[in-house]
Amino acid sequence: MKGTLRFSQLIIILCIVLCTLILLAICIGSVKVDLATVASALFGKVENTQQYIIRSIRLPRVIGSVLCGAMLGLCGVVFQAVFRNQMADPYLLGVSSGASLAVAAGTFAGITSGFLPSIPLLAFAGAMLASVLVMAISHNSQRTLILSGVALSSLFSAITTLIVYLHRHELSSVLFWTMGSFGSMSMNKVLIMAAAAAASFAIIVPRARALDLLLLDEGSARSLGLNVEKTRILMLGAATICTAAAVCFCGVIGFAGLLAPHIARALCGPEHRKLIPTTALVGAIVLLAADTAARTIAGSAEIPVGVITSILGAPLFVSLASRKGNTI
Amino acid sequence: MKAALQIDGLCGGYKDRIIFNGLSLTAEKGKFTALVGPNGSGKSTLFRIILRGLKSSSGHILIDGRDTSGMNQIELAQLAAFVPQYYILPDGFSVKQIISMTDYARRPCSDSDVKSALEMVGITELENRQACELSGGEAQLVMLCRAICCRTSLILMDEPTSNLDIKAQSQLLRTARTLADEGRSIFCAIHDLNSALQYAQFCHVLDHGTLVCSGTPEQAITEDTLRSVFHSDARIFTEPETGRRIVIS
Repeated sequence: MKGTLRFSQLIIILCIVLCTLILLAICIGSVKVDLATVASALFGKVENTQQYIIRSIRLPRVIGSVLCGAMLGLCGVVFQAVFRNQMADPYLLGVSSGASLAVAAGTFAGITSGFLPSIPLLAFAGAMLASVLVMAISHNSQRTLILSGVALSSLFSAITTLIVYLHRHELSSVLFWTMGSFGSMSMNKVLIMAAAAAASFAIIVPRARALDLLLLDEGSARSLGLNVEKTRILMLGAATICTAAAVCFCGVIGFAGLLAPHIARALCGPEHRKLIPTTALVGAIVLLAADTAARTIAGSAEIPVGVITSILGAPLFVSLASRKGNTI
Repeated sequence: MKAALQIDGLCGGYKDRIIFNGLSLTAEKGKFTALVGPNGSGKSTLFRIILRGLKSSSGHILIDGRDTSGMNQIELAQLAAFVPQYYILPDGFSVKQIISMTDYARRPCSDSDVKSALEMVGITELENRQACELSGGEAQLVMLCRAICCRTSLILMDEPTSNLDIKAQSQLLRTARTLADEGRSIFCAIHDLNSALQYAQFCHVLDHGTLVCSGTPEQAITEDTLRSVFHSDARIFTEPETGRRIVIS
């Protein structure tokens, strides 16, 4: 596809697929609705239950999963460039779990009650702490980075599970933090996510070439004009904000940041100028499809979306890990 | 005339080990200047300091007469290109894409810029090859192409031939000498003294971060230098047919 399809054509096709999937995701679910009802709910006044479901439940959920997919995909691309490791993703580095742990702990300590923006702030603190820890533990080494991240992620997830278990009678819905869910999405949450996504994209997108240069050896990158340390810190900061905002309202969604960049690379090649928009669209499509499947394939019961992304992502991780020359 | 590269009273090195304590040297414009010295003499460290991978504690580095201390990384990249000893060629990028990365600090690198650099080095057939699949020699020649595409007057080279076979070595150094003959300035750390004797027009000998001697390669690389700096009893002979000096160990 790389050779035969122009980049603009690829983007148009991905946009069409995403728009179709958005409409499909709004229409299907435990209550099925037709396109006319969707249109009237989106553009008219809410007059019946179906329109209420669309406006207040399905639409925030669909926009939330689209945003989250694009954000996690983008984070994966950035982490992979900063750490020069194609297996880096917010989940495997422990950044998602760090954010999730901070939110779970904060919620049960009562820090987040009544003030919605405190949740992403807590998530950001947790994600930042996890980023710093994983770099310190791995001594910034390629060889031990993913192993350190997975170990840290397991530890954070275990503590989160313990917190959730100890407080299971108070708040059963928090189980989503361990496997991810868009079930509690609201328009207010979507707006906070969108603001964080806009800020991160504004930092990352103009620096696509800098991400290409980060993949080179340090001497080459410097000689081509890159301030390596400053770029790394800036990109890590932006990706950490993005991860925190994606994770804080929907929990840890495994492998989403790994799947999207790899599918995108197969479609448009490795240059970040093309890879960033393609990954954002692919990430949105993958996570929306996964969430739609999660809430429809088991009838009235809902599967955590992280289960589906992990089923898809784990084999990719294994295939990358077994590829000659790749370091875990 | 301003020197292509002028280092004045440079002090610096690593946190736990000072390498340079007042190093001063110059590389003339339009010349191939070689930097030779045994392992650990500070050749690669000097390149790291010039490119800001390490901080110097004092001293000045001037390129084309301009002090680099107040410059940002992009301004520095517009003055000097670099051919590294150890390089990383990331997965999935073609040779053309690797060379095009020079557009970060300067105007976009056109297809014709890439083609002319590949032609100059004699590797046009590699343009669309995957960079990570190249042999060591081919990859090092691609690094030289990238430096050519930077269009800077000074090209720094850190032991670019250390892992290359004899053909790739001569291909790379011959191209570097041609660049010098066309007016670019080459400042190249070389391990192989015979290469320095054959291709360089000026030579600095470095030992433990100190400049031991400078001059034409014939003046700088002598049996005395081999004994005192390299601790080697290698001999230097003159080839009767060409008059070229050859180090034989």
